[in-house]
Amino acid sequence: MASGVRGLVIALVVLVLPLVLPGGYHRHLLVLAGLFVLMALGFDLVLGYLGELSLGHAAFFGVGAYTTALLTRNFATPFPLDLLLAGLVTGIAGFLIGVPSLRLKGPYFAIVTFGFAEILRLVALNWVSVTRGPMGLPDIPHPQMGGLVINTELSYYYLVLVLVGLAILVTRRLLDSTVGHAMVAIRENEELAASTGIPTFRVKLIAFCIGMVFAGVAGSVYARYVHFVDPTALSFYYTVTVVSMVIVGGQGSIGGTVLGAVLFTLLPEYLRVAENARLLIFGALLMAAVVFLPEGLHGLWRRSRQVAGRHAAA
Amino acid sequence: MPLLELRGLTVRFGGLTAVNDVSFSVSAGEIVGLIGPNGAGKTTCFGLITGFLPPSRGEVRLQNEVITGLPPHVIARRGLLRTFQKTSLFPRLSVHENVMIGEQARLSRRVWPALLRTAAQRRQMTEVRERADGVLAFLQMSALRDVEARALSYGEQRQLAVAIALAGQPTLLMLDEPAAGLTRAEAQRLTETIGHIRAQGITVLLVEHDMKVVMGISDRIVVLDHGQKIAEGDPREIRQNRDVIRVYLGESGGRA
Repeated sequence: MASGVRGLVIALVVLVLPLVLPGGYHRHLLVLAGLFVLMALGFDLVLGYLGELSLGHAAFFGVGAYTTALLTRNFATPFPLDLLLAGLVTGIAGFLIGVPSLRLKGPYFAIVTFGFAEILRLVALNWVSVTRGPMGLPDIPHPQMGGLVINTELSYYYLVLVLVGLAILVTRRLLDSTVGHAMVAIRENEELAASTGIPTFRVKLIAFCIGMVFAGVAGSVYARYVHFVDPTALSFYYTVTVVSMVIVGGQGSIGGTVLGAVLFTLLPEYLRVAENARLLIFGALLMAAVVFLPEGLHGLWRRSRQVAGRHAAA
Repeated sequence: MPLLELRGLTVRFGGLTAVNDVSFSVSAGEIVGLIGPNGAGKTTCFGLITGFLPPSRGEVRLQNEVITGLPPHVIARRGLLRTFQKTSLFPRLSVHENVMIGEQARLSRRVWPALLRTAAQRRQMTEVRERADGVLAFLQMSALRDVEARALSYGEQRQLAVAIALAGQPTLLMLDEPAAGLTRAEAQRLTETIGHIRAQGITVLLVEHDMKVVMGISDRIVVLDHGQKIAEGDPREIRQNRDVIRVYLGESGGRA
């Protein structure tokens, strides 16, 4: 009952928020926040539930963005189709990179995914005949479905909202299934997971591919939104951003991941009032979060509820 | 036809032959004890049978099919489930969740039904939850259902490890020193539990140091020393076997 009311309140806020905000700038930030949420949810599937740190996440965002850019520019692929194909291509990329890298663990997995991401970035940079290299691919059209055109911050916001909703649904259903149980088992104790009959490698590969599809879908919408994609979309900077979001928000928690992604998109922007000290303050906040909130904001929320519960009981 | 059969199983680590030409079999319904001094190769034997270690030579047959070389999860799905010598659990999950994961050996993991939340998938998850509760009730652990595994006492953790293996409905349950570190009372309770497990039609192969436990419940005992089988027989024969006595009590004038 209480959780139903909470869900309703959240849904209402999320739906109405962009309408009450003044001006396009804030709405623009919300669109970006939504795209980062999508990326972060995919990342958390791997870090939070499989327990592996991938340092190649931005590359999959880039694969999605380039797929949509190339499809729309060269084949005039209509809107939902390019999004689906971007998801599919990213999933295949996840498979191809997952097969060699998911046999490794910990730092080795992190390094190999980082290496693959750099290779993809260099391909985007140097395969000039297809990607136009550092000049990037401009003039990516806005999505259009029949009479419905998505061309304002507001309409993009609702598109992203639908996709985030779908991603959360997929994550929740996956976690409440034998696949999700197997994922968490691998995170907690891989040897025991194997001895209970879980094909650990296959389960990791499935989860990794799904997580990467989330990133690819975010990239696809991003390319449409800014009309343009260039190799900086694949840069390591975005991977680090997503890592920070999920760790500060709380890995292995959907709410924490969403909160972390939104906060980390908005905070650096709203800190602009502090001018030159902006990134300094941001960095300090990030460090404080890691030191004082080892389980992220999600952990803080849980602990405060436990304290409140104890007070209520006393 | 034996349920499990080891034929000439051998494994070498560099110059050391940890298990040397070991053959024995386990019939359906039996409780077989595998004993021997530290370093005799008992746990290595477990690793070889369950696919965690590839043997250098020899083969393992389960219901007359060769399972040597198969990966651990495939062997588990054939009905051979094990516990580990060092307590191995899913530490940050609840007791109930731990046992639910134990059921994976006999579950399918398909993505599309999960995402579409089909009726069959929902039914499967309900069954998974109920069966885990059933296993907990069987082991009299229902009171601990929602406790995190890492918060359990040592004895309870050892018991949960057995519950996880049991949840996969094994035909052959392999317990690696289940009584290690348990108090007398806990070991006694474990002995009873193993008896209940056998009564369910599950065959048990156990490695155990605790002689009282092993002699009390085993139908047959296999003794290893320095990687070799030195004796096999029922508890009474083993107790009187001269080689076994020598290994366990030491020779008076032999080794230093």
